[in-house]
Amino acid sequence: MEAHKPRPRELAGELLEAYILEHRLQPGDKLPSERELCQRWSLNRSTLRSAMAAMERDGILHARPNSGTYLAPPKFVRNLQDLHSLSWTAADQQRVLTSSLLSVGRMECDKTLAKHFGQMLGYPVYKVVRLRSVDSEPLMVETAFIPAERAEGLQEADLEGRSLFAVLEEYGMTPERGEESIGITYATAEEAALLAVDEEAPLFWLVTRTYDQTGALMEYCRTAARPDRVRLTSVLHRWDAETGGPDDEA
Amino acid sequence: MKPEGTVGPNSPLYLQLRELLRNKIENGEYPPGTAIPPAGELAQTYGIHRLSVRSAISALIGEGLLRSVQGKGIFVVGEKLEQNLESMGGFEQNMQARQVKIETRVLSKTWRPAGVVYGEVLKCAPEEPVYYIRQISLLNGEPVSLEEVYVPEALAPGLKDIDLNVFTLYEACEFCGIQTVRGEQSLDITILDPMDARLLNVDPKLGVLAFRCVNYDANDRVVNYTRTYTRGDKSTFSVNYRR
Repeated sequence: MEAHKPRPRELAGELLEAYILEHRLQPGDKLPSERELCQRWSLNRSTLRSAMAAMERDGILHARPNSGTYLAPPKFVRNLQDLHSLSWTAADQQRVLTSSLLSVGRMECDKTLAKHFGQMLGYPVYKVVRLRSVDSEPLMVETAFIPAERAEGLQEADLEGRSLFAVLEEYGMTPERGEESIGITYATAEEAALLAVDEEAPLFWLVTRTYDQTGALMEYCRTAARPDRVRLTSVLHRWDAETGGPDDEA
Repeated sequence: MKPEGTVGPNSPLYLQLRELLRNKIENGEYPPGTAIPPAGELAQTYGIHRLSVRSAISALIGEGLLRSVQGKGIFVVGEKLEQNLESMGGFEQNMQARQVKIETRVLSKTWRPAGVVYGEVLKCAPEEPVYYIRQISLLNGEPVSLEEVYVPEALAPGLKDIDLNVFTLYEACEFCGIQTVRGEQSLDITILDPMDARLLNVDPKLGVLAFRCVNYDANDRVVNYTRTYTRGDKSTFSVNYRR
């Protein structure tokens, strides 16, 4: 079998990652200058630059004009398997989550929404639009739809200081299970302005359905999230159908 | 079909050949992941008609012990492991097309030292040899994802002989005695370098979904690491969860 011959940019990216690991760089730590790194690794300047630009886009590095390149703060990790609210997850990662309420109001379901809720055209729902930020950096725009008949008066609730799930719990809705689909979207002018990205920048597009203890859809939510600040994770377990339990419990 | 064991010297030749092939698969003469001799060769070896060979083979394909791959031959699947397994949690990839035909092509299968970066991921020393495989998945003939696979050689020395155009990585690892029980997965969006963007036939300025998975066996060893770049216009991922 042949030995792998990395392409120059691939090699530069791996050298940078190895440098970060070997020197145990922490978020906010500065990398040596481009010139020094090029000399150290005998790399072409443009190759190193393109590798660094890719890592900056991926949210690993952060360049400050006239200052240098730094290790970026870690991405906000959202595990899709737990039903914890974003507020809980942020606290768990020792980050400060803030929500600003962009709008809340009652509306009638259009064809698509009515279908999701299994209701007729015009079924009343609350639409709650919030901008979620972590450590003062905009992270995602969330648009949630909640059946109005089950949450009368929702517009009066504190939707900035509390998690939406905590509020809905008081209305007797407890999240029991959910489904999320993940794709790519490109920022509209409005999303770009809210999230401080360029128009047409790629964003995560998440559609979440959360069902309560009765099996009813309690929330239908669409989220546009910055991929340089958010990582989605999950753990896959393979179960042995014959023994009926997860293999790793053996 | 007659139950196994009742096949004897007076049984039809295709049944005798079927049992012969089954034995050779079970005793390891035809190991999982390899091709069996071509039908013409089997017909000649045993002096039987090609049609009898075909019947024997199609019976074993029906049982899931063999797999036929057009233009490549008949391959041994061995024990049907994956059918007993049910996946729980984790991302599922959904193709945005009906009647999909997915085909995987290996672009390169090479060797490299783990290095600092992959040594950290695979929990092995930087000098450890690692297989590095690049493959592309085609959906109805159109490229949809590019996958990079890292497997420590020491865990799966037999991997170099298994055709990954025919078997999935999961199957190939099973053939090497590796049982994956858990995978830690993550999803990001990234931009491909121009060469990889061309391979996937995407505009290099557009984002792709970067799916990464670290797979573990029952002893919590990292058995492989995969990174898959998927076109956002061709597929989405989904995940189900419950309290």
